[in-house]
Amino acid sequence: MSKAGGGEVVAGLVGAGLGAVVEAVKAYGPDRILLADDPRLRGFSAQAYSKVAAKMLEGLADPKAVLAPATAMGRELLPRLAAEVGGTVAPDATELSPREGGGLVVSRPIFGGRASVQVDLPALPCVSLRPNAFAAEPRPGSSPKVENVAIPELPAPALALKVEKTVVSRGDTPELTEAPIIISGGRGLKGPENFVLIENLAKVLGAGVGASRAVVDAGWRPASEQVGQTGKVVSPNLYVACGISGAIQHLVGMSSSRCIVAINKDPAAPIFKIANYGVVGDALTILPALTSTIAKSRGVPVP
Amino acid sequence: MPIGFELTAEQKELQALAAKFAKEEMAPRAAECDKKGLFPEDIYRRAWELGLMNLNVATEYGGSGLALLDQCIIAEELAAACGGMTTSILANCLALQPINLAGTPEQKERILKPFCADYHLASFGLTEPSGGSDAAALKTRAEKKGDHYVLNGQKCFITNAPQASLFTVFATLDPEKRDKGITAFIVPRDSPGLSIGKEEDKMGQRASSTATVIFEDVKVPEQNLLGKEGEGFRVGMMTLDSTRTPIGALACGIARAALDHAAKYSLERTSFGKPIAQHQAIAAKLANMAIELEASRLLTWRSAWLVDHGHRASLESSIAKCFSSDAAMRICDEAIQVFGGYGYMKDYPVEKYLRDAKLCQIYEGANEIQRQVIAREFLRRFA
Amino acid sequence: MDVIVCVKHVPDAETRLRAASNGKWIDPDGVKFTVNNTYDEAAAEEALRLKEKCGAKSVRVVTVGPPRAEEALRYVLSMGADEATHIETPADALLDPLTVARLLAGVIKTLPHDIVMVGKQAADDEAGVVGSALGALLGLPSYAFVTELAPDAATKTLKMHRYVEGGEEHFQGPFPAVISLLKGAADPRTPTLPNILKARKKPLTKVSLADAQTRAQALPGAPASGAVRSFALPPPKTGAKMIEYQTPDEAAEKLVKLLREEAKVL
Repeated sequence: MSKAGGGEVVAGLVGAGLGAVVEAVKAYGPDRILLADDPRLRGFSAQAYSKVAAKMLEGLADPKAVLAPATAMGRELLPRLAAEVGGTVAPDATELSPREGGGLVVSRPIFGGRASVQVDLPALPCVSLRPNAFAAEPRPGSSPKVENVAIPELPAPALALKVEKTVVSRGDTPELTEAPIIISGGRGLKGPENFVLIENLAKVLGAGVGASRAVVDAGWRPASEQVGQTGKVVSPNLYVACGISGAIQHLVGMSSSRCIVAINKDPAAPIFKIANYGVVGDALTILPALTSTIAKSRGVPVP
Repeated sequence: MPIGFELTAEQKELQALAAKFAKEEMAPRAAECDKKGLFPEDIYRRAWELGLMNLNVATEYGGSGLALLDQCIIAEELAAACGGMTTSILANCLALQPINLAGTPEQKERILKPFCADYHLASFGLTEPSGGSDAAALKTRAEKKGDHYVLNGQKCFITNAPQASLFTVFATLDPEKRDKGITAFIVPRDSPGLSIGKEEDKMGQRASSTATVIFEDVKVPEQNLLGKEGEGFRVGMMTLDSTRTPIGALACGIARAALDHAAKYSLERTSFGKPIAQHQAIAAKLANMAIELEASRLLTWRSAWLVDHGHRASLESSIAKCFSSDAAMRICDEAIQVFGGYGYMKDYPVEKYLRDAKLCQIYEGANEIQRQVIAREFLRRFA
Repeated sequence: MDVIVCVKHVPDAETRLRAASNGKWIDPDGVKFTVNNTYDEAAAEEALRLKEKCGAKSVRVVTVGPPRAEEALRYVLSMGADEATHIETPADALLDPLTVARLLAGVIKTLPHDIVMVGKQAADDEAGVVGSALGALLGLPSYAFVTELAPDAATKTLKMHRYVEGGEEHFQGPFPAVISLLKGAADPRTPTLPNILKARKKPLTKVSLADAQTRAQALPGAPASGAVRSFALPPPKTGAKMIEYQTPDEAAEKLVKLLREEAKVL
C-alpha cells in the first residue's frame, strides 16, 4: 500500500541478538530497517519496547501507520505505543485500506467472528494484522539499509523484567467450545480407526476435534466431542465437517460457525446447504491431501 | 408502588444467579438423572452452598429470607433446567414453612438454625396412602403420653424422604374431631421407629426422590410440638397457601423450556422449502404456547405479590397453580408436536418436560382440589 | 496492596446479534448483558484471590459504561469485591477502547492501586487495548496474556506466566503494574445468594462522563481515537461454493487457497 502511494516501508526491529531476524526481514524488501538490538531488550517488556518504537517513529519524517502481527506481543505492544504517541489502534485486522484525509480504514472481526466492523483510524494508525489474513511476499534481491537506533532511557521497571524460561506447549487439542478451528467427523469416516485422519488435520491446524451424534452413539468417539443439540454448541472461525450429512440436531450445534467446509460423498447432503465451501468426495481421501497441503505450507511435518 | 412489572436490580441478580446455576450445573445432568432416576445430591448440596435452598427461612436462622415473588423468580429459572431437581431443591421450603409459621423462637434457634447451617434436606409429611386431598381425614395417630407424643401411621409420596434428616409431620390426636384434631410435629430422621419405605419409580421428575415414611411408636418430645394441639390443620393449610404459588412458577419454568426448544427447532427445521415456524399451523401453536406461558407467569407473580403484601391469596394462589400447571401440560404437549417424531424420542428433552409437568397438576393439592377452592372462594362473594 | 479490576458489561455470548439502525453496532434491544465474559470474570476472580491468598487490602471494581453496566459492578461486588466505581456514559455512547483507557486511567490515578487487573479482551469488541494502554497512561509496566501470577509484597515483584505463540513464558517483573489476564488459576466463583444481598450495601461511586473527561486531561499523551464506520453481520448462507477437482490434492489446494484468501480463516 505504501509503495503504491510512493512512500517508504520501514521495518523496525526491537530485541536482543537479532542478527538472523535482520537477514530474514531483508528478504521481504523493506526500504529501510531500523534496528534496536540491545541485551537490555532480551525479555519482551511492552513498556520498554513501546519506548523504543516511539523513538523510532520520532526519527521518521511523516509516519503513516505502524503495523505488527497480531501475535501476543504485537497485540500488547501497539495499544501501548498508540497511547504514548497519540496514535489510534485497531487489533487483529483482516483488511486495510487508505482513509480519505489520512489514516486507515481497518476491518476486523468482533464477537468471536460472528460480526465485523470497519474502523476509521485518522491519527497514526497502529494496527496488528491477523496471521494469515495477509500474504507476505518475499522480494528477492533487495538490500535495505540497516540503521541502528539509539536506545532511549528505559524506565526502571522495564529493565527489571526478567524472563526465566520458555515452556513449549505440548500441543494439546483446545477445548471444543473455545477452539478457533474444529475438524469434525461423522459416519462417513466408516470406522473409529479412521478418526486418526481427523486428528492429523486437527494437529497441523491446532484445531479441536468434534464428532456427530451418530458416531458418539456408535461408541467411536467420546461424548465430550459431540457437537449438536444434545452435545456442544460451537461457533469457531472454521468448522470442517467430514462425512457428516447434516442432521438438524447437528446443524443446531455448529451453524453459527464463521466458515463451514463440508466434505461429503453425497452431493445432496443437507450439510452443503449451510456450508460455505463444499467438496463432494470421500473424506478418507480428501483429508490426507488437506493435511499434507496445510502441513507443507506451514512448514510442519506431515503427521 | 401500586402495580409494577419491572424487577428490581436485586431480583434480576437473583434471577441471573438461578439461571446460571440452572444452565451450568443442573441442565447438563438433567437427562442422565431422568433416565437413571438418580438423585444428584452434589447438585443439591451446591444449591445449598449458593443459598438457593432454604429460601423462605429468615436470615437470622441461616435461610435466605426471600419474599415469595423472589422465590417464584428463582423457581422458574431452576425449573427451566430440570423440574425434578427443582422440586427437590424447593422441598425444604415446603417442609420448613410450618416451623416458620408456627415454630417458637426456641424451636427455630434449636432446630432451624443448625439445620440451615449445613446442607440438610427436610420433608413435609401430610399426604397418606388413603388420600391426600381430604387432609382433614388423615389417619396417622398421635397420642399424648406424659411429656411426649407417640406417632403411628404412614405418610406417602413424600419428597426427599430417603435423604431427609428432618420431617414436619401432621397427625391426629382424635380422628373424630377431623381437622380440629390435627396437630403438627417436628420429627428428626433418627427418631426410633421412623423408617423409610421403598423409593417410588416415577413417571417424571425422576431426579427427585419420593418414598413412604412409616411411623411405629415414634416418640416425639413435647418441645417438638408445632403450635398448639389441634392447630395442625390450620398450619398445614397456611403452609400450602404460601408454597402453592411457587409450584405455578415451577410449571412456568418447565413450560418455558419446552417453548424455547420448540421455537428454536421451528426456525431450524425446514419443510416444503421453509422453516416450519413459517407454516401457519406451527406459528399458531407457538403463539398459543407463548400466550399461555405469559398468562401463567402473570397469575403466579400476582399471587406472590399479594402474599408479599400481606393479603390473603387462597383464591389467587390456587388459580396460579392450577392454571400454570394445566397450561404447562398443554405447552409441553404442543412442543412435542412441533418436534414431530423427534419430540417423541428420548434423545430430545421435550418428552421429559411433559412427564415432569404432569406432577405439577397433582402435588401440593391436586388441581381438582384447587378448583374446589377456587369455586368456594369465588362463590363466597355471591353467597 | 490495593487491587483494581476493570470489567466491561457485554452482550451474553448466546445473544443473537442484529445491527442497530445507525449501522454502527449491535441493536441492544432485547439483548441480555452480562459480566460473564471469560476474561473479565477471570480477572475479577484473580483479583479476589490476591486479597484472600496474598493479603491484598482491598479490591475495587471499575467500569466505563451506560447505566445498565452497574449490573456488572454489582456482580463483581457479589463475587466479593469491596467497592465499585462506575464511570457512567450515555446509553448510546460507542467509545473507542483508547478513549475507555483514558477515562479509566484518569479515575484510577486518583485511587490507590498496586495492581490493576483487566481481562485480556472484552467479549464484544475483542480489542484487548485497555490493559497496555492503561499501563502507558498510568506510567506503569503492563503485562499481557498472563496465565498465572504470584506477587511478592516484600520485593514488589510479580512472578508470572504468560502466553506466547507456541508456549508459555515464565517471567517476573515489578509492580505496581497493569495485568491483562488470559486465564486465571481457578474457575471464577459464582456469587452466592447471601452475598448478592450483602453486595447491595457495598459502596458504589458514580463518576460522570464529564468529570472523568476532566480527570483524563491530566494524563500524558495526546488523546486520539478511532471510530466505528460500519458494523456488519456475515451474509446469510446461500449454499456452498463447490470445489471442482480431478485429484484429492487439487481439491485440497483449491480449498486451502479459498480459506486463506477469500474466507481468511486460515
